[in-house]
Amino acid sequence: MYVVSRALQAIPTLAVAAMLLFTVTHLLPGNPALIYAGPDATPDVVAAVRRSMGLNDPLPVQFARWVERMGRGDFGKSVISGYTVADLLRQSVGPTVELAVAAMALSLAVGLALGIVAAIRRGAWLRAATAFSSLALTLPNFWTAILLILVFAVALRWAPPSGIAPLLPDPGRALAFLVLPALTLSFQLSGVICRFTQGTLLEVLREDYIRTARAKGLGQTGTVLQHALPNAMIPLVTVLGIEFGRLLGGVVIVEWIFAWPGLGRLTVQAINNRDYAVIQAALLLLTITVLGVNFAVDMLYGLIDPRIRYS
Amino acid sequence: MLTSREARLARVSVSGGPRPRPGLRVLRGLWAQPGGRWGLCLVAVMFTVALGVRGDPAQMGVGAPLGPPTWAHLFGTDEFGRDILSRTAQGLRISLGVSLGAVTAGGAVGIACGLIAGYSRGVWDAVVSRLADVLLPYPPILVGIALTAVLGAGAWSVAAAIALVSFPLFMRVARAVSLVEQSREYVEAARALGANALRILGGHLLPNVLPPLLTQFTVSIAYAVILESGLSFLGVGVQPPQASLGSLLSTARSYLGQAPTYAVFPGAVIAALLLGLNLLSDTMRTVLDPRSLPKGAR
Repeated sequence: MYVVSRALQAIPTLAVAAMLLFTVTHLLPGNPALIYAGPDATPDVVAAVRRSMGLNDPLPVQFARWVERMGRGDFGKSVISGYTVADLLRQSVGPTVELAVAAMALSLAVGLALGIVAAIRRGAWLRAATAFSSLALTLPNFWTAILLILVFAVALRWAPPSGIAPLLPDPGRALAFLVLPALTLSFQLSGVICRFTQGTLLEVLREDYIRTARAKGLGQTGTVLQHALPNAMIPLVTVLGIEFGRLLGGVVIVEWIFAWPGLGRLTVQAINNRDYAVIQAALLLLTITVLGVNFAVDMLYGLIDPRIRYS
Repeated sequence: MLTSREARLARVSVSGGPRPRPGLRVLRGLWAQPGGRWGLCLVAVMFTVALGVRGDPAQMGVGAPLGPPTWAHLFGTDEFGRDILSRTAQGLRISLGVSLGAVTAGGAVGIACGLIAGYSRGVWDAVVSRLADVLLPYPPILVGIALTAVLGAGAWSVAAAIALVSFPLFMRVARAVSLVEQSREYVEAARALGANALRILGGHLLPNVLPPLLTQFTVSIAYAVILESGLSFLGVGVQPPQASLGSLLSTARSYLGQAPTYAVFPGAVIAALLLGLNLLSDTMRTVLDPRSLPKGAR
């Protein structure tokens, strides 16, 4: 029952987002008909192209046509490259998912480990973890990226400064290209996870049932891993859901710096080329992803925490 | 005057006595803690650099192309032989100016919308809340990219993006406070005394919203600096010949091998500014929320 009402709630949000997106992309300066027809085209040709692209119709008509086409998965053609937008998206989704998954995994590993150790050991570990997360939350990702390139690509030459390699023939080489972008993207999130884990763990460790666990003879580490951690981790799901949006924003900048051929780079390139169809589709895809993840997190929250009942 | 009477009534019902000047109290509270002291110092240094550094940021050939740091040019010189310190100072001025102005504008609209939404509820509340629902989860950098594409690249578009991103954050807090406070006795009293909605919103609810939003303001300035430099880094923000912290780093990226200090110094300035702002907002949160302080520090 809750699933249905929550899904119904998401519809107006999606509709508002779609309308905003459509309006925004149609207010873009620059004339796509002119770009499509080429610099030498006569005004007649440009007008004909304009007509054939449907750019003369009223906006609501164009919006209805757009929604109908999007529903069919027909995103039109890129006016720059001539590829269909669907093809371009298909090519870019892979690298972006690869990067995002790598960054998510890396930040969970680093953030959880550091947060747990800090909560158990306290003292110097706690101070180190606090300093780490403050730094991670402060540095903007393009600055982190430049520092990493400077140290690991320019000075030490351990990893290539930018680009991508296919995973299959040579996974080691692919990993070398993935390392710096994934590190950059994961830095902020690992700070968030570390601060959150250490904060909730320290709080949970004060609870009565922890004292009971210690009293029955369980060691500090065992208590944390078996009793405190599962309870502390439930709200982490929500945090991850919220942070996912920030991660997607970071993807745009990180992909741009490291010439990573994903959705973010596609979007920035499309904006520079005034490629309407690509901008719309890419932004729509990113929007649906953000809303979808928020929705999934709400659902998941109910599944993993039996104390939450939906009415 | 009704206002002063209402105000006196309100104050009596809340705390029962006159308080010290709130601005001074907050400042003293910030200075009392190491985080706040560092934050204040860092931010003050950045403002000094932004406003105090003399030298023409656009003058080419004042030094060798990509020259290393010297006493005359502390940050070195860029690919056209321009002084990087002057350009960093200009970038800071633009960054801070755009951020302060845009967050203030977006925040003011957000506060007004939120206060009215929480007070009147109904259709207005539904519309504004839905709008915030759409804007909030959306990555700010994408909002910025879309907006700069529509309005054209430049400082004004960046400002519009910052204002748009700040709006829902301030709106939410203002709405929440307005919802809670409007059923309190002092608002009832004001209403009974014949105050109209405008007076209740402006004279009674607004003062309650401002302290919690002071922290939000500092946080939003940090976000705004990141958004501005990020957009300029992508090439859709502040346009050349004007320098921005983001575009400086973006250009410096091409010369990492030849002149690493070109990237390191402006980047360190961004980092120091953001660190200062974050320290300030973290401390502000504890200072403005007396429950989180130990008894002696109150």
